[in-house]
Amino acid sequence: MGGQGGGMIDGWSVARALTDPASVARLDATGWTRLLSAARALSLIGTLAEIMADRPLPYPAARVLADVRLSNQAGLRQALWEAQCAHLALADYRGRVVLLKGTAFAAAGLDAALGRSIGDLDILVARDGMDQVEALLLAAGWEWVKPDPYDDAYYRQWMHELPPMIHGERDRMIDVHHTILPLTAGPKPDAAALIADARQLPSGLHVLSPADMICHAAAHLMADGDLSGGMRNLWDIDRLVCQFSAKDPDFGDALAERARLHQLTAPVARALRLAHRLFGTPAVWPIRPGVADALFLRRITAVDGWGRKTRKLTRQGFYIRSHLLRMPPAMLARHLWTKWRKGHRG
Amino acid sequence: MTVRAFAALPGHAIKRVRLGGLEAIYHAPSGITHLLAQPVPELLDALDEAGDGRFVTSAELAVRIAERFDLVGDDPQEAPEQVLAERLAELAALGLVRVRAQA
Amino acid sequence: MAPGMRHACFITVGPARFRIGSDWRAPIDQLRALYADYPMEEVVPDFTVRLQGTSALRRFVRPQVAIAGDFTLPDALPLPLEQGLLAAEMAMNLQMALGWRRHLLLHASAVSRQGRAVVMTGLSGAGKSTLSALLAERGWRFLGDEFVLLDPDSGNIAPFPRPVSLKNEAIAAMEHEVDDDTRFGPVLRDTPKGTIRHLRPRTEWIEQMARETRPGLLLFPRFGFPRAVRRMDEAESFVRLTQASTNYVALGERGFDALTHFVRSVPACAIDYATGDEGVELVERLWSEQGAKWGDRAAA
Repeated sequence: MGGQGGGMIDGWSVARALTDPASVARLDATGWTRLLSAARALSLIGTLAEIMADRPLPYPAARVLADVRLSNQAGLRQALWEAQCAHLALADYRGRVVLLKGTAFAAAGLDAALGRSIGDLDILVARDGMDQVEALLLAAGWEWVKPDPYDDAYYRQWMHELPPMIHGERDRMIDVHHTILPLTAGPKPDAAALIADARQLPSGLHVLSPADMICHAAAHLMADGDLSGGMRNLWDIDRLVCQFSAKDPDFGDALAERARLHQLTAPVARALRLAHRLFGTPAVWPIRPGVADALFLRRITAVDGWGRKTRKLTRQGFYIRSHLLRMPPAMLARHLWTKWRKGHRG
Repeated sequence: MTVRAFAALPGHAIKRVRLGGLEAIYHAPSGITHLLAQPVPELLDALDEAGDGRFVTSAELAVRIAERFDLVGDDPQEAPEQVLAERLAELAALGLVRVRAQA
Repeated sequence: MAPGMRHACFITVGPARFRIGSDWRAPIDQLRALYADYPMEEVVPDFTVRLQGTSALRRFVRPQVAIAGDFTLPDALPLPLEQGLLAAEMAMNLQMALGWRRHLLLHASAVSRQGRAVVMTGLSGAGKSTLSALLAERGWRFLGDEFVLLDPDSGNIAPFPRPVSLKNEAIAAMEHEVDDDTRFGPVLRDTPKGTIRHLRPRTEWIEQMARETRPGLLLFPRFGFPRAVRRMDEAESFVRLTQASTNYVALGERGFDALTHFVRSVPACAIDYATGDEGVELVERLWSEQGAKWGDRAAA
């Protein structure tokens, strides 16, 4: 294996390239091949492409990244348009419509949006507005993805969102949340405060306040139990913290207050520690080593130069954790049982 | 009832290419291509001619268009501006024209 | 630290470079044989494809090949190891279909003569692939049987001359047509698409695969119908080609420009033909008629 030393885990080489773009100068062809595959597997290839946009690169790597940038443009355009369509569909809804995650970063023009892949449209609305929002979306051409009574009941009872809907013509999904963690998770974020403190964009749509954005990203990292999107998530946090703390020297205090309010102090602290270790994110809170940090980092960076997620045992452990986190054990048993029965009835 | 007014999109937001009797329209903000028949291209032309981003009501537009075309809906009882208002509302829903409530 | 995949090779087809890794030797050996004339040096690839076991045990007990790589479909079913070559081909197609951005990608075949290409598109099974293979044995340059790559800047076609994937009855027809047996891959039976056998294009078309060609004619062939020719207007061609393109939407305005320009600059016909010979004859006749007009224009 060329370029990097034999012991290098490829997740770390991606982190290195993102935080120290000049370091790619010493990569040979094999090193580039591994870096590109690892970045793709970690959903960070889009970001890598934007960061490397103005650098002189070897032609074969440059043309791969140029393609990625074209995909970035298309993804960004589609995400913003989808937000606008939802905005139009919800014109008669009097409450705030808060964009979340990638679409929010893009609509607010934050650094975190640079090259970030954006999947479904995620929005947050007040819980007592869910029925009206649902009705308005259905009237505007969205439809349920799965007309399955069990899944439907499961979502409505235990999740923090409506069952996913898809727009019949544009083929794009929307997730309507009324809070940022499943109701079965331990912490209970203050959803009303999230909405009340949201910031209005010129379009009339809202995004979370800076501190709440970090809280949400950290909650997301915690809820994503198998950590499959962990590295991308931490990169979001890195970008947000860099940008917000540069603008507001007291950002750490504001973040502490909101994290306490949402019962997310521990997850935010862990996210800040991990981001600091991986990306050198500014320490807006004092950094103390956490017990499971090494395990988290190993899992998060576990990808090889072929884009394979490695370290299967750690992944398995995290997957079980993922389910436990989302559902108390009795409920988990019920869920698996129902799934199992359905599987066997075909 | 609120009267609605319509305006053309800025030039960079829309690209139109004639393909035989139809028109292929690329809408940049959404990345969606529309293939539209008469009278849509004529409507878009008339809005363009109204001037740079100027909002006009369907009644005003009906006057302009009547100089060149006969406007008849599926239902001959329908007033021409009514027919126009419906087509324009459809185009607005696709994002192909701008719309606002007229003060 | 995982050492990498057990077996691997690099293959360049036209402008696209692939890296293929496999848990087993056999699919890589078959790829090396089938792609014997293609560049195989190690380069930074455009796409990585992985043929991997569905579980550690499955690698040895009735092994199944799972298709993975840069771009995957969530519902892609694994194939038995004997069809590993097909799995590799499908995976390479998938990378192109989902990931390629340098050209507008049309699901079509193409051949050319005197620097003018005939692009043939249509539903799967309509015969475009076999027709291109037949023409390529009868003096036409082979540009590809699966994807046509349209350059948005120049309007030219970049060849993508992968081995032709012959299916069912087409296998015997082409075995009859081609006398060099070394150009055929192994016979793959009982695949999801029936029996499949690959045919490597003639060496000269592989050697010329970096040379672009101007499009001259667009055809929508249908095999197995009584002979018929119908002119197709620009709007219908446009709609059909947007449906035949896997990256039209992803390319945004560049895709729109490339495709509107294409349908306005080349004449289009739907052609029905009952036999391969009739198909070849129809294509040659339409090409000559059109060729006379190019000649007129060049003379004017």
